[in-house]
Amino acid sequence: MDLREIQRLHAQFAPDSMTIDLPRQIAALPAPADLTADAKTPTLKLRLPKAVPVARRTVVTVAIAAVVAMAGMGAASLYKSVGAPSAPELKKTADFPRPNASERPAIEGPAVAEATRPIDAEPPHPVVLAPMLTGKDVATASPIGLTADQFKNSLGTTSGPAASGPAASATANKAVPPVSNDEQRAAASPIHQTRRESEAASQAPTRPVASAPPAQATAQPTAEEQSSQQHAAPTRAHSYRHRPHSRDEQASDGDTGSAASKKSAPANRGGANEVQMF
Amino acid sequence: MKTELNITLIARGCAITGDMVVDHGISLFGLLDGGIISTQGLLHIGEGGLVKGSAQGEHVRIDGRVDGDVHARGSLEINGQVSGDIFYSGTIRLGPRASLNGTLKRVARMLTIEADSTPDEGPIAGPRLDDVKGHERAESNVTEFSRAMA
Repeated sequence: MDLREIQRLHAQFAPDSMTIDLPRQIAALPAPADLTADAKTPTLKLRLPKAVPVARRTVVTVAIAAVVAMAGMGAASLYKSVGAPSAPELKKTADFPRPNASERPAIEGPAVAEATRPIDAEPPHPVVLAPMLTGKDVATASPIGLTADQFKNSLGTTSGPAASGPAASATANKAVPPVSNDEQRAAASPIHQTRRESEAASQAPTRPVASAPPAQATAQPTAEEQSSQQHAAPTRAHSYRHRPHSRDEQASDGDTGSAASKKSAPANRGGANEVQMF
Repeated sequence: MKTELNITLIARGCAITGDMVVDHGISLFGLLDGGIISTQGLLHIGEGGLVKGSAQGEHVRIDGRVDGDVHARGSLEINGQVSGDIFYSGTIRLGPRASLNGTLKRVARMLTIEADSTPDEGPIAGPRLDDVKGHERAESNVTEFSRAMA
């Protein structure tokens, strides 16, 4: 039996190899707290330098995450306060009753008008509160032509004072803008316009007569002729004033107007008579 | 901390007279005229070894010859001659060449150890305590002497 066999034999019965763990043994001992604290401080001093970089990285990471989170919260708050409608508003708009098919055309007018203005974040007006179209809305729109009443009123304002005298009629003509008056007359009846042109053509030859020096005797007839014309105009105005209101009657009024022009024709004939006299 | 394998080898041709006490394993191939105690490890009486006295150990293996009692606290393996009583606490194995000439008893482990160690240590521990007390008295005397001098 050699040495190796003897060693092998003794190795079988040798006590198990044991590792002495001093910290664990000391912790297991019922030692006073001061000794355990002294035993722990060296381990802390040894582990502290190793934990410093890890703690630094952790702190940096947490700080970056906090900054990003705060930036996100700020952006969200700005977006909520400025841009997008809040959740309660969306809910309120969803809770509004939808307009019926009969009410929809009534709201389309204001909707088209609102489409031209800049985008408004406010919820759309409910159908019940939407302004309805009335006769006033149609009346405010300026028509191309004149109705019979408007034309009569415009003539009444001008010809009413004209009946009192020629000076008053001149002031009335100054008060009413002539351009609009001509347009109204032209829109009302082209027949009168042609008649006015004929009147202007008839008055044109009378002016040289009035400016002629030997016309001292003829100045009196021209003055009479002018007064007769000024009398003729109120008569036409009176004829317009008593015109009926309806359009059908206005058409007949055109006939009457033509009849009035026929009546004024003798005045022109009178002027023609003057020319014949001249 | 690993415990290194530490054994004592008494080779063939070695004769020892008296009792032996070791705290580790021992292999005996020589002649021992006395008792042998191994507190830890294997007590091995090799082939050709002879012990004229009692043998006590934790693990005991006898391939030689023992003329006395055998105490084993752990395992006991006999493949030789034992002339005496055998006390064991754990397991026992007998080889083909085992020759037992005595009684075989299985005893409790603690009783086996204390029964042998207590009567031996009793007379030794007494004087030690007396010596310690004597030292304390001497120190006390010195202090008293120093106080007297002062």
